Amino acid sequence: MTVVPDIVEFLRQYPPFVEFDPATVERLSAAAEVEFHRQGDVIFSKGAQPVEFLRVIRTGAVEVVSEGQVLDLMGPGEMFGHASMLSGLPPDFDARAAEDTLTFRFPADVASQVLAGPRGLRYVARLLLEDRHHLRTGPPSEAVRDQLRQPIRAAIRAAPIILSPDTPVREAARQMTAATATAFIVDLGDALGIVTDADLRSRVVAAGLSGDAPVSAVMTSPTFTVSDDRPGSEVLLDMLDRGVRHFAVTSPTGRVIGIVEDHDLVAVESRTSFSMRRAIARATTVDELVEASSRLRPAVIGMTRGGMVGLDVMSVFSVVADALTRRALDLAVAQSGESPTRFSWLALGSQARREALPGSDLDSAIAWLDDGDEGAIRSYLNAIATAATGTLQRCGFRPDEHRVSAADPLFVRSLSSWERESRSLIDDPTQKKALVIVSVLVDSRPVWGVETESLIAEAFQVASARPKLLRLLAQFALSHRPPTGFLRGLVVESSGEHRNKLDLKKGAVAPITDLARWAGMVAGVGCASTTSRLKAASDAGTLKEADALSLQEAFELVCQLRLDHQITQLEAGDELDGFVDPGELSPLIRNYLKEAFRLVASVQKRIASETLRAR
Amino acid sequence: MRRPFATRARASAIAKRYAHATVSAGRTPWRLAHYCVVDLELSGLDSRRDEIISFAAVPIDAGRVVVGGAVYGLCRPTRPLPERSVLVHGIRTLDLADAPALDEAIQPLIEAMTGRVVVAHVAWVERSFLGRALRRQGARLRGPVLDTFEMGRLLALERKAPAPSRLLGELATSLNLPVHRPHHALGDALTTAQVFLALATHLEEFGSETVESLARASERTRMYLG
Repeated sequence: MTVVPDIVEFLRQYPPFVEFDPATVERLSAAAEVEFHRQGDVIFSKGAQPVEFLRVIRTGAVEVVSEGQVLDLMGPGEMFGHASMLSGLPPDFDARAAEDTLTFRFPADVASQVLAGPRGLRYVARLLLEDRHHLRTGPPSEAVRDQLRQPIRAAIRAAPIILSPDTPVREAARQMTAATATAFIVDLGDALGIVTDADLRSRVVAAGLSGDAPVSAVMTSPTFTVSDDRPGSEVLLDMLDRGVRHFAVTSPTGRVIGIVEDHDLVAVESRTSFSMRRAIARATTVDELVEASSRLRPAVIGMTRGGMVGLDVMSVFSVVADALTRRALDLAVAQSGESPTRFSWLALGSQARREALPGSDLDSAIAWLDDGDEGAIRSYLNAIATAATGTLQRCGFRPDEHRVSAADPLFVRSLSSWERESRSLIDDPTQKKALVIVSVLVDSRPVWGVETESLIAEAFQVASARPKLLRLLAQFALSHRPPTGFLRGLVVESSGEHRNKLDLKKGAVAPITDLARWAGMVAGVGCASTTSRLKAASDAGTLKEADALSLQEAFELVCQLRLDHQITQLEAGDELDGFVDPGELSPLIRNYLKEAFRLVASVQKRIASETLRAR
Repeated sequence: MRRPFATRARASAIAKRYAHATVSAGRTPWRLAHYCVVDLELSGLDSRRDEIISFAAVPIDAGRVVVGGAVYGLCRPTRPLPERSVLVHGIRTLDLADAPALDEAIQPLIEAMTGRVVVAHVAWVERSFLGRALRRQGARLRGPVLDTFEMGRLLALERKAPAPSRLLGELATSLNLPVHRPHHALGDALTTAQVFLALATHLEEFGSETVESLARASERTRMYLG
């Protein structure tokens, strides 16, 4: 028998073949036949005879079609037909060549034998269970990804230990050890307390406290609680944001049903973001802060490569960027002495929406609250802003190209001035650049200083009663068109440094975030992530549910691509940008991307005809 | 110990079967015919002077490449290989020291070709070297020999596209097909087989194709160009 090495090598790049021993793959490849399917050819159809071959795509792409709907698009290395082949039931979808496609087919007797091994079975079982409709951009998902997408109750591993406040610490420690728990809850009747392993170490052992002391003496109260239906990713962000590693999970009736810690939610890679947060909070000099921040990018690489969804990685990154910003301001304030006024540092743009990427600019602004000598206030705040942005730059955040920054006097104002400005923009949205400024200001979130809800976004809450502003914002949101006129691939930059590359931000991120901002404002939402805006707009009926979903899926895909692109650049030590070479994308991703652009464009068109016609 | 007569006698038996096997008739629709895609690595391009040093054959049945039917072999040349040929395929004279001589080495190839229509890329090379090798065994190369290069030219004309490259790898890439290990007989034979499937399938867009009509690709191209 002549072994064809190229086929063996190809198969061994992909699951499940990657796990098989070489002899098995050689046996399989010897039974291979190569088929060519022209674009549009149906390889097998729904309800026909059971499939007698396992097929693996060599080049090209195959669509999974049911009821006229394309459910999935498969690319090189993906296998299909195994469900019908193994079950002996007719296929429940059409397999159709989405482009000219070369496939390997393996007869059932050989393929079943190979797939019936433990490794093959595990893989096939996972494939069959996996939600095939979900957009996938990489290999089959890992536990990490699933954990974050599921309600938090899925992460509960055991019933919680709940003790009365007068329980001796010794007894509590005994129960923890017996249950291998790392924390327990103290029931105070009207409130909850929590005691963790770390508390026992620092507040009991290190402090020389007696084992007879009541747990109420060492607990933290109140305890953060989270309702059991919230997605793991949100809980993770809350944990990061508050800097706590344990949460009590409550049922709809308010009963504590479990304790979740960071370990239950994320893999090792993303746990570094917790220890990093501590290092950031502990930094007492700019140098220490820069040192702490140096772990951020490797952590982002680890999370992405570990299979965490792009949007979740971006949220974690944004939370850590918040923490760095806060500490940079603490240090700047400590350096500059007492402030002549209370003030608030606002994150703007992608950081405010918690959608920042390692290559994103951190846009910022300042609002001050107290009356006083404006000259003195300005010079103090200017020194703070210069120092803080300088620190952040040393931490790897580049200064904003468009100079939307607290280091620019235009973005440093008293709160009343911001409110006046907002009202004036709302009253007369035809002012020069009004829409750009409104868009910038709606995406604002205080990260340091006066603890108020979003100061400026608040002013825009009234905006939902301003149809003229909203109509103009809709027009503005529709003015960024994604590239849809495809000519052999994707429309790309025609000149300049990024010639022949695709600008993902301008082409897809901006149109979607602009639309979501507008739709969110109509639905009465101020500053929020694009995902929550889309959801709110869908709930409020501002956007059709299907349109909101389309935009969400397109957004997830494009964010994933941007992140993957920047991660590759980070690993290669290249300058970060958002320009992707379409030639480097797999045909599968290219097709998804085209589809995403088409979806955005069609939603835009629908909104244009429905909303703007109404004037 | 070498037994030239015994070898020659066995060779004739295989060659005889080759000479008398039934091959798909010219009017057979292309998918129903049986093919043998052949690629040779040579010491040079002059069939009077140069020699076959390696060969591969991949069968196609029912419009599918049958990977398990592939054959591959090396032939010991009678003279040292010229340096420029070594640069092309990376096979050195000493790599072939233990290989059988042409007449014996080529038996599996003759068996693989038996009852099949031969397909090759830029087929005149294979035609002349295979013809010579078969004559040494008292047989003739049976026609037609299909040429993927000529089929590619014809498809380009039908599609009003620019003429394709002569290079196998470039033709395969232009059809969105993989390029297997180039200048390795087995890799090139597999690439050629896949190119053949794609070209024959695409040519069907313009009318049904038979073994004969594919064999006349070059003539059809000339008629087109008038």
